[in-house]
Amino acid sequence: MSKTDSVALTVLIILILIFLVPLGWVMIAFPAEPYRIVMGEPITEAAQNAGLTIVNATNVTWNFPGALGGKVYVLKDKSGNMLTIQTQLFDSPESRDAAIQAHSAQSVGKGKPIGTIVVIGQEIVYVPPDQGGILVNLGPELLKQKAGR
Amino acid sequence: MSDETSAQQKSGIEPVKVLGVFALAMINVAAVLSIRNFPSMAMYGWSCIGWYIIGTVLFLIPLSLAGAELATMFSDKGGGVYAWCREAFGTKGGFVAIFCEWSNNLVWFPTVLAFIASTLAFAISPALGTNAVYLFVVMMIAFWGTTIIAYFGENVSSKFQNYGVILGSIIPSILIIGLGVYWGISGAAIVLPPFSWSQVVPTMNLSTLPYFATVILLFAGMEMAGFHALETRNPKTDYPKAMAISAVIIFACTVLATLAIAFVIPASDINLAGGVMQAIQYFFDALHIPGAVAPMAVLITIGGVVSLAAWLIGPAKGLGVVAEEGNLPPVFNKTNKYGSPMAVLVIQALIGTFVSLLYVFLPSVNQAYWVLSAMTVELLCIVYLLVFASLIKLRYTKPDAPRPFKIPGGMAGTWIIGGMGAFGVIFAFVVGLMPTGVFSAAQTLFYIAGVLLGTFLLAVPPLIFLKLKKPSWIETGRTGE
Repeated sequence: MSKTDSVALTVLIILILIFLVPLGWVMIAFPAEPYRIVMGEPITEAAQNAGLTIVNATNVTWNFPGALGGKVYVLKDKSGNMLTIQTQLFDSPESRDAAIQAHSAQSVGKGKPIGTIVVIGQEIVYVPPDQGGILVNLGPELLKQKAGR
Repeated sequence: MSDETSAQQKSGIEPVKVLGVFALAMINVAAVLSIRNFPSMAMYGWSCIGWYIIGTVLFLIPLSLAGAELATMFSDKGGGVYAWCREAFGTKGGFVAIFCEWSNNLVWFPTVLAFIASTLAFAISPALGTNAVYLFVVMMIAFWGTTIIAYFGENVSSKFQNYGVILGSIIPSILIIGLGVYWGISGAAIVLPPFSWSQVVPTMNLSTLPYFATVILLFAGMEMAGFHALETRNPKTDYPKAMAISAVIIFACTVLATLAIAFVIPASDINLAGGVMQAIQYFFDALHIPGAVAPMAVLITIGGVVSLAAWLIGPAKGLGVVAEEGNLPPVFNKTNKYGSPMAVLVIQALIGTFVSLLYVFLPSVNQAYWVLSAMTVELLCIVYLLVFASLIKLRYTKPDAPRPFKIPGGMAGTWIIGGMGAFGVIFAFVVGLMPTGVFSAAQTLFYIAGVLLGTFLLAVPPLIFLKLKKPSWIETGRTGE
C-alpha cells in the first residue's frame, strides 16, 4: 500500500470513528429501556411522591398503531404551576419503539424535538416543555419508576 | 480566477448556469420550511409568535443579510459556507465550518428519513409505521434516490426542488393556513385563549431555555443557496432577491400555519409522540374533511424528500470544493461530468445508511437519539458563529472588495447584524448543553460532558486532515464517464 493510499485509509477510518464514538457513547450511557408490562400507574405514584397534585386525569388513546391507551395528567405544584403530561401503553416493543422514532422525527428545524419522552417499560410518558419548572421535582420520581422502585 | 474555477476548467467541467432568483429562493425554502415544525410550535399557543420573533430577529434576518452579502461577494467561488469562512479565517476556518455542517447532516438524516417513511405510511396504512423493515427500506429509497438526483447535477436537482418544494411545503402550508382562516371565520371555537400581548411573550426559565437553541436554529438553512454560486446566472443581483423572497415565504408560512393549527387543536391534544400526521389528522377531522389526510400525507412526504435533498446536496458540494483544493485525499476528489462531487456523495450516503441502520434497528440508539441531535445542534452553532464572524472580519480585512449587496449602515450595521446573529448562536450553544431529558444530577454532568466531547470529535477532524495533507493531493478529479 502506497503512502498516499494509507493516508486516504486513515482519513476514511477517522470519518468512521467520529461517528462510531458518539454512537457508542449514547448506547453505553443511555441503555435501552427493556419492554416490560407496567403495573399500576407510575405517574400517579411519581406525582404523589414529588408532592404534586393531580388536578385531572382523563383517558386517552393515541392514534398510533399498537397504542393500548393511557392518560392525560394535569399536574400542579404548590406554587400553582401546571404541567400536562401524557402516557400511553403499547402492545409490543416494535410499536413502542416506532412511537419513540415518531417523536425523534418531529425535530424542529435541524434541532431536537420539543418535549421529552420517558420510557417506562411498555409505557411512554410524553412531557411537553415544562414552563413551570415542575419537572425538577417530578423527574427524579419518574426515574425511580423507570428503575422499578 | 479562483483555484476552484481554474480546477474545474482544467478538468473541462464548466459549471452549468441554470439557477435564477426563483430556483435560489426555492433551495432556501426547501431547506428551511418544514411542516414538521408546525404542530411542535403550536403547543406554545400565542407565545409561538414570540418564539418566532426571537428566531427571526436573532437568526433569520442576520443570516439572510449575511448570506446575501457573502454570497454576492464570493459569487465566483464555489463552496458556500466553506468559501466565505475560508476567505475570512483561512482554510482551517472554512474546513471546520463546512465539516461541522456536513457532520450535523449525517446525524440529522435518519430523523428526516424516518419522518418521510412514517408519513408515507400514513397515506398507505398507518400500521406500516411500526414495521422496522418497511421504515428502513423506504428510508433507503428516499436517501439513495436523492443521492442519485444529486448525481445528475444542478439542472436536474434544481427542477426537482422547484416542483417539490411547491408541492410538498408551500401548498400544504397554504392549505393549512386557508383551513385555519376558514375555521376562524366560520364561527368555530378557537381553542386558544383570547389574544393579549402578554401571551406573546415566551416563558423563559431554566426549563424552557434549552428550547431556545431549537427555536433559533428553526430557520437554519438560509445559507443553502450559497452553495450553488457557480451555477447561478446572475449571482450578484439574484442572491439578495432570492434571500428576501425565501425569508418572507418561510416566515409567513411558518407563523401563519402554526397559528392555524393552534387555533384548532388544543395544546394538550397535540401529541408529538404520535407524530405530525396525527396532529394533521386531528386538524382535518375537526374540519370534517378526513379524506384530505392521505393526499396531505403524500404532499408532506414530498416536502420531506425535497428538504432532505437540499441539505444532502449543499454541504456535499462544499466538501467537494474542499477536496478539489487538495485538502482531502484524492479519493474524495471525484467529480462526474455533471459537476457533482460523487465521492463525497457516496461516502455521505454510506455513513448515513449505517447510522440509519442503527437508528431503526437498535432500541438503545433509537431511544437516545435526541442526545445525538443535541450534539449536532452544537455543531450548527459553530457553523453559524463562523459565518457571522466572517461577515464582520471581512469588512476589516477586505474593506474594498466588491460587495454587490452590502448590509446597510456601514460598520455599525455590520456589527449589529453580525453581532445579533453571533449572540443568538452563542447563547443557543450554551443553553443547548442543558439537558431536556429526565436526568439525575450525575447523569446531567455526564450528559453535558458527552455532548461537548461528541461535538469536539465531530468538529476537529478537519484539523487532523490538514495535518495529513500532501502537496500531491491537489489534482482535478473526473470520473471515467
